[in-house]
Amino acid sequence: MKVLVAEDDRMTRDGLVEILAREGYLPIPAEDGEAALRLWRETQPDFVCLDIMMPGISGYDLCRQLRAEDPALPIVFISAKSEEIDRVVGLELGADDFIVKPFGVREVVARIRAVTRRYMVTRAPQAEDGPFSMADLTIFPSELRARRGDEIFDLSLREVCLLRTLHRQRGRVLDRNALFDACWGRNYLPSSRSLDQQISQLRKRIERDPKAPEIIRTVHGAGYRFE
Amino acid sequence: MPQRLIIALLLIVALPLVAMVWLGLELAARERAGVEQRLAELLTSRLEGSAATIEAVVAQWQSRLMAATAGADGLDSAGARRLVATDGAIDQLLLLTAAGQLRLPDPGQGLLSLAEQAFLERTRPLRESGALHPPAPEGQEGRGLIAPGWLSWHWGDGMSLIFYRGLPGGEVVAAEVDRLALLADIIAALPDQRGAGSADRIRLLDARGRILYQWGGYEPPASELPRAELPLAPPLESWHLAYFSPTPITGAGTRLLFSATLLVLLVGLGLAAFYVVRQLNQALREAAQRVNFVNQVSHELKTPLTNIRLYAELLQGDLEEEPEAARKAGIIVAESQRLSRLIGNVLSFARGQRGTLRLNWRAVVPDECLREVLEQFAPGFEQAGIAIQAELAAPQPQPLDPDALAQIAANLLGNVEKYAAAGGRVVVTSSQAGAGLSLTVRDFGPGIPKGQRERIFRPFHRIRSDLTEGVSGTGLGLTIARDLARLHGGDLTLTAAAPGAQFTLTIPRRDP
Repeated sequence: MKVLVAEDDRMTRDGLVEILAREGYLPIPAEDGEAALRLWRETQPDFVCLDIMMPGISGYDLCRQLRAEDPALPIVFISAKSEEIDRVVGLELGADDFIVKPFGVREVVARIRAVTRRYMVTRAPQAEDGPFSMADLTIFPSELRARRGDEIFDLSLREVCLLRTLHRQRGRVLDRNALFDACWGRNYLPSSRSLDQQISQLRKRIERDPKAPEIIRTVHGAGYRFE
Repeated sequence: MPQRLIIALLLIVALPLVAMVWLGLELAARERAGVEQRLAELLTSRLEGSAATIEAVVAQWQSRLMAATAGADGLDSAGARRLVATDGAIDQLLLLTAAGQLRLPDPGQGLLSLAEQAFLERTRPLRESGALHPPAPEGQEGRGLIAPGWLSWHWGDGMSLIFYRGLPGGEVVAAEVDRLALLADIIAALPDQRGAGSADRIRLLDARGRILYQWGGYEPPASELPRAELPLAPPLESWHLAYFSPTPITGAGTRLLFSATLLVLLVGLGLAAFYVVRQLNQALREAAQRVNFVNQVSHELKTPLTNIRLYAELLQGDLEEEPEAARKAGIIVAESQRLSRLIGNVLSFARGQRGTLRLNWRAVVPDECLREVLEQFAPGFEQAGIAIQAELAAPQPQPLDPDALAQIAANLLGNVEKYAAAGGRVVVTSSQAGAGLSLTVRDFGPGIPKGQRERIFRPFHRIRSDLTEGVSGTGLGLTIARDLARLHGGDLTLTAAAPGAQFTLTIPRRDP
């Protein structure tokens, strides 16, 4: 899923890009309004994050133009202004949500996931969106959630992808490259550690006993497997 | 400028001014009355001079008449007529017997002239009343002489004047005085009609107010009233003197002085008020600029703060396997969150000052919001040795501003962290009754002194004690927390608890 990130502050932009990449999105950074408009036309992202105060075309103006071309495009505003009037103007322009500075990783993740869920519900249903079960856990990809009994777990796009890939190849050992190709993309060159880290974090949340995993099992020297 | 201030200023300027005008007028009126009285006395004394001149003329006339009538004892009709004819001062003569009977002019001795007949006619009431024959004083050698005296009465068009005296033979002689001759003598004794250089006028007036004589260079208008009046002594008591002058000397100077003082005061007070208003306006403008500056700086701080927090959190994620480094990254995260809250409070306060503090209502599960805040505080509390006991029971979505609720809860927990860490424990309780949300934050620290319990909600108020010494803070947290609670239609109060302090937030349920 491609996300355009238009933010003139380089550090914030890079931080957002990293968070989005960790979540499993394909971020497209833009340093100002003009670049954002050009990149949007070139790459046709699934949704966009717009800073309001940008040199050249402001976030509001960009929002109007994008909305005119694609009324269903999810748009999230990033702003240092938290005055109510800004929210009202932004929401009237058709923004789906607001992330107000100063924000943390979790707030960004929560809001991006919320927008993604809304986007998945409204887009044309796809085969991979259907729910599937792994052990006593049921995964709902279009909701970015999993459920065990009454317990509900929030999942990232990448975590859903990892679980789906393991579920589809049930019984087979998948090495790191296969998982990278499926969930990070071929051009991505992550360290093997980042995959292990992601798996370890996921296990902590969805496994009954992370030390004796039932859903994602480690096959030493080979990779991971779901049985 | 606030309306209350303008009213206060107006009162400060207007009240003393009105009081001063009233006092000044009152004083001036009294002063004028006093001056007028003194002036009237002065003028009257001036009139008394003229009156004395007239009285002297009358006294001269009396001496002259005494001399003229000295030999009237036994005077016959012809002698009496001769006396009248030769003495210009006497118009008619009357002789009464010792018993008070009319002896001359005698209607039985030949024909009386018309003048004599008229004289008898007009003196009849005097004779019949006995006024011309008053009882003589009792002396050692029997009855004495009847003392000389005057009688005046009005007959026809003018005043008639009679001088009478007792004669050694017991008879009484009465001489009607030639009024015009007397008046001529009086006028001759008084100053010229055109008093040299005099800017006033004195009039001699008869009983009907007709001018008998007047002098002085001033011609008063017909309507002008005299500034002073003085009746003459008997026998001319029906005449009086009147004084006229062109400008009221009275109070003119006082009024001018008073008006000038008032004007100076008015201008002075006006200038003072203008200065105060200008200073106030400038102070307000500067305050607004400061608020605006703080506001802008706070906004500018947000982007670098975002980056610090964002990267510290990312770093924390990367350092999972290195707990010590992760802990340090956690401190950066916690501190940046603290800074965020501080900036949030400053901005909220600035908005409150501008009257633009608004809520962003949404249906929110209060406990979810509270849990996030508690999670934020967990590392800091752990480090400070404060155990969190959360009893959250507000799981129903309720319309409120989640950011505001988080800000209130964070300000309360921030205070616990800063001032009540010694208590070692904090109890956070939430509940949702039909009326709405209730949140209590109870600490077991030193508590709030009795006298400070309401003051802690005032902006910039900080309790001064060893406890707060060296603890950073803006003194805005509770003010903003209460403002936000009240914007929700609820309140934030300090409820009694011992040991420690307990704050209770209530937010009533309202229709979305």
